[in-house]
Amino acid sequence: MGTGPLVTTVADSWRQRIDSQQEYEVARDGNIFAVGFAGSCLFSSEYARAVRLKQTLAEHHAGRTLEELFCGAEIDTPCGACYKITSREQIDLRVPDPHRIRERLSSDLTLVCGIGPKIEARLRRRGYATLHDLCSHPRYRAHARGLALLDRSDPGEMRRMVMHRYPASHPRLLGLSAFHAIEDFLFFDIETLGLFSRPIILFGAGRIAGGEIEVCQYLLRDIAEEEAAILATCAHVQRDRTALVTFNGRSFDLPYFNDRRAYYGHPGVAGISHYDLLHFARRRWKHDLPDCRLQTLEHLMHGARRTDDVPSAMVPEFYATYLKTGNPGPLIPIVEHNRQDVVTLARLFQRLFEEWYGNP
Amino acid sequence: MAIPDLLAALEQHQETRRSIAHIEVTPAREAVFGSLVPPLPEPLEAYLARRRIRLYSHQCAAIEAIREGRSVIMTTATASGKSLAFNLPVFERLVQHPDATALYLYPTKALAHDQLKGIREIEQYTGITTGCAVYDGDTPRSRRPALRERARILLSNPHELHQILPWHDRWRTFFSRLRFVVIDEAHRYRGVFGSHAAFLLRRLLRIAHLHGGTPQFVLSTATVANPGEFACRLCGMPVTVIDDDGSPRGETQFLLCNPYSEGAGEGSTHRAARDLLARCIQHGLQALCFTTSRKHAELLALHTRAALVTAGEEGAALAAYRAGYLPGTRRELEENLKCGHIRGLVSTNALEVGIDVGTLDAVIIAGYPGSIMATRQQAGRAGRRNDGSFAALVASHNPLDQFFMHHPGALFEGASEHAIIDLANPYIVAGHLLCAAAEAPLAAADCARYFGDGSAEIAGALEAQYLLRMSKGRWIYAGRGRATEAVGLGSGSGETYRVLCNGSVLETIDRSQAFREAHPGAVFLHQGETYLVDDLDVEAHRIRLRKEETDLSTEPLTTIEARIIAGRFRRDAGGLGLVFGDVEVVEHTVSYRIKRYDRVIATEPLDLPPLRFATKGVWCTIPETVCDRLARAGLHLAGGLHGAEHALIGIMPSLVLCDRRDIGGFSSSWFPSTGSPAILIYDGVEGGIGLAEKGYALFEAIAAAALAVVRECPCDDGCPGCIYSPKCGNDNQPLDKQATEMVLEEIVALLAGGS
Repeated sequence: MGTGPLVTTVADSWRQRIDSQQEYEVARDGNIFAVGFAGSCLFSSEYARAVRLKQTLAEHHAGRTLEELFCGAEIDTPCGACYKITSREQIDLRVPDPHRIRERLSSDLTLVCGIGPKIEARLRRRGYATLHDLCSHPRYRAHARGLALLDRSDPGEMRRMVMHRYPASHPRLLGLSAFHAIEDFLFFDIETLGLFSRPIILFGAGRIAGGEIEVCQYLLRDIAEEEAAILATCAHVQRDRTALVTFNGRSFDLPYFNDRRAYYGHPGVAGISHYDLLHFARRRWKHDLPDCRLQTLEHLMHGARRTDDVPSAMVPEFYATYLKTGNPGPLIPIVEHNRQDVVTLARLFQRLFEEWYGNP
Repeated sequence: MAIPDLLAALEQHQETRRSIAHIEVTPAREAVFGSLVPPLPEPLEAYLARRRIRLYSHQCAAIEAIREGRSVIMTTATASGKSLAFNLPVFERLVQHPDATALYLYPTKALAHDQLKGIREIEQYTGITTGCAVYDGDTPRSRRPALRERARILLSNPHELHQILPWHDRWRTFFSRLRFVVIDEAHRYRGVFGSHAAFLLRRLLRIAHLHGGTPQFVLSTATVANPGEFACRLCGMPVTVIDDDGSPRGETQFLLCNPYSEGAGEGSTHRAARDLLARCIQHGLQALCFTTSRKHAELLALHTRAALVTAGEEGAALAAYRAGYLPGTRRELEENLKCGHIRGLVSTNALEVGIDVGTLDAVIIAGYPGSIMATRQQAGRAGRRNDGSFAALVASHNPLDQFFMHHPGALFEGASEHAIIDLANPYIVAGHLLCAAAEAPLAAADCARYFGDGSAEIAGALEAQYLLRMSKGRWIYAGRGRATEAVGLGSGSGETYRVLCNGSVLETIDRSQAFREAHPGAVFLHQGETYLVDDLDVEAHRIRLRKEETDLSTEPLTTIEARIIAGRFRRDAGGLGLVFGDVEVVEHTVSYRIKRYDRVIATEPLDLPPLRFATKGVWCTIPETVCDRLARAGLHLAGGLHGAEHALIGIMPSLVLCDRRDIGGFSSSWFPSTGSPAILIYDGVEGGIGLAEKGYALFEAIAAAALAVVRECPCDDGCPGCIYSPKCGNDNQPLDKQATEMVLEEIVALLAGGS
């Protein structure tokens, strides 16, 4: 096959071809139709601001190392090392009272197949107030008996039962979170180099401990560290206890994470409880807000908007600049964006409880 | 006795009789049957018995080789039962191993859909459940997971496979049990596309191995000159050739029809093909007509229908069929043809690929399709019945078609073309290494095992460009976007335009078609109906039409220019300059003619942006001294350069290992970019794919081989064997064989003296 110089030319031409692939489009300001559907479209002012930000950061942090910029530590995994950044923030997360949730569930006759609101009302008039009562009903007892054990099941089992009768966005499903220990929630968000099949460059995992949320972030100093970071992230997951909390994680973060595990030949993470807040948030706020993006919700909760943020579509570009130059400056907004997303997830969780279950 | 009647009728008609250049009669052939020991599983034997099928000798040979675990390629004639010969052993294996799966690859979606019916039929007869289905770009998302999990036979195409491989984890079940990869119409995978397909199959093999699947390959192909070598290169393992055809055939009358037998007078290819097609239908023969372009297909359907109506044939169903029609329309046409509702079909080569249409009596080929391989395959669609069949090749008015009219032996006795695959093209290897690394981390050992000896070195170079990164001794993909998107499989510009009428999509066409046939003001043909193009939106890739009954047609006037952008390498030899570099081919549709039948009524200007196609080329500038020498000998310079260009292009594929379709050429006695006479040969793939580059390195050998071909060719004024090109944009004019020989002699001498 080819000799040295030719091979270099070939590699160079592929480099050019691959670099010319557009990852997003820039639309004229105000052209909301272009931006509406795909997340891979930016307004031109947004784009210009981000380009300026990247330049400023690069100038500002020239000559510094990643380790100097991000206070963290190298950790070892069976698949090599990666870099872990830890931070803490105060938070007062309290889940709804499990007794109240249990009561609501056991008096919800519509959990039984074949019972809608009308029949439920009729049954109540006839004295059937709880699922236990229904266990003696000639027609519904078979199914009701299965459900009557609901309050003794684990959250995953309960979830499966409720899912049969309610859409994924229903407050009933959010309520089930009351049955997890608060430290078992894993607030999870990833930053990727694309919408599919590209490395994940940053993994954010938040956990509540003693009035604080501790955010662990695994950052790839080089793409070669991805497998290690995946393993490190998985160490936070205990199959029978952990409950994932994500924003759009059901369709994006989790399948993406599993695809990357599969790429390295590891089986996917499956069968754990998962609260995807996007569905709940949409149900609650879709009539009140222009969109249900996490940052819009954040604005709703705090009234503040993020400054110096990087648009998701441009994360690959910022990261590529770091890889090419070794200058860690452009990573700052990525790491901060991810950290903030994780914290916001926890706050949004709290806010949804308040909206639907009152202040616990 | 329809065929003798037809021939008699043709003889009686004076104009037709004059145009008959040759009739080749292929005698009927008896069947040779075989037997299998042990016999097939009971349900399959019962199926054959119920369908009254006795296996031919070649089918038995194929089944036995497949049973032994060997990969095979079948090269027997069209309609010799190749599909059955691979379906039976696949089903046999699926019976023996209830887990086993098979992947069938077809070059087109339409073909996959068609073949599905045959497989379903076996499934239904035998009760062997395979859950077979087509899995391609049209498969609804909601059905995909179930197909991946449950189907044991899936039919797809290379483009879809290219997209599937990165998601192999979701295909774990299917790939881990993969026993067969069936490749129908394998001859389509030659040249650059063939090289891409070869590496795609190696990626498939690597992924299958990763999940524990160990497939064997089963190929079927039209006649090629080198089936064994070709198949081995395509699938990367030794392949047994099955070529001893045991199928019977009725007598075939193959007519060579030359409407220009008395020069460019009254006759035309179009009219002759129309008359032949109409006559076939009138004689009760179901006929298929192939044309060289989609527009001709539409026009021919339109005009033949008119001719039939004039002749009092009412309702003789005739339709056009070509690529670009929506899947539903295509399938409906195929159905109607099979059940006989349609008596005649005019098609571009979309139908060339073995759709089993069952009852075709006659085939008319309007214009030489560009290769002996294609001519034979198209004609092979006639003659499925044992009681004889009819085929005709209607010549166009160009030297190549005319040559075959005068030398029928070249068509009927000569060998088919070679199917060439290059496994060492570093551009293609690099592209597929990127894809492979994006599918699963790629070890150096994988490179050697699947992608060839030098591939690890190429991976190293890609790492140096940050496209790959090394992680724990394996390369992972680190480039932007999706590797499969950047690599493609090397066909088409990828840009498609939607053709809309009243808001609904009639069809999709590619960019250059859109500019040529759907510019504003064009009369656009779809299913024999005429439409007027209102608007061509270049940005939105959208064409808007309105229905308009008209007998006008339009013809674009397109200029093609090649421009040199920059040289990269150069060597000079005695005034001759040989350069490799970047070129741009510009196709500009500047105006169009409005015609009523053959008469031009008006010419209208057009304001369309030129289509630019950036690629790589090798060009050779001819010194003044050579021109002088030609002039002194009284020879035609342009004819010599043009001939030399064709001869170089003709021989180049065998030396740089590609297909003739993969390269293009341009020659001129005054080339603006160089300010001298020059011959340019460029890669037909956007961005270049290393062919011209290799041509530059091997130019001495290519020129010497081209000279030998021209010098040793016994023809007087040129022929397809030396200087005629099947894809010449100027209808092979001007060409001058003597001048060609001299130009090549000078090039060879100068290069030898200079180095």
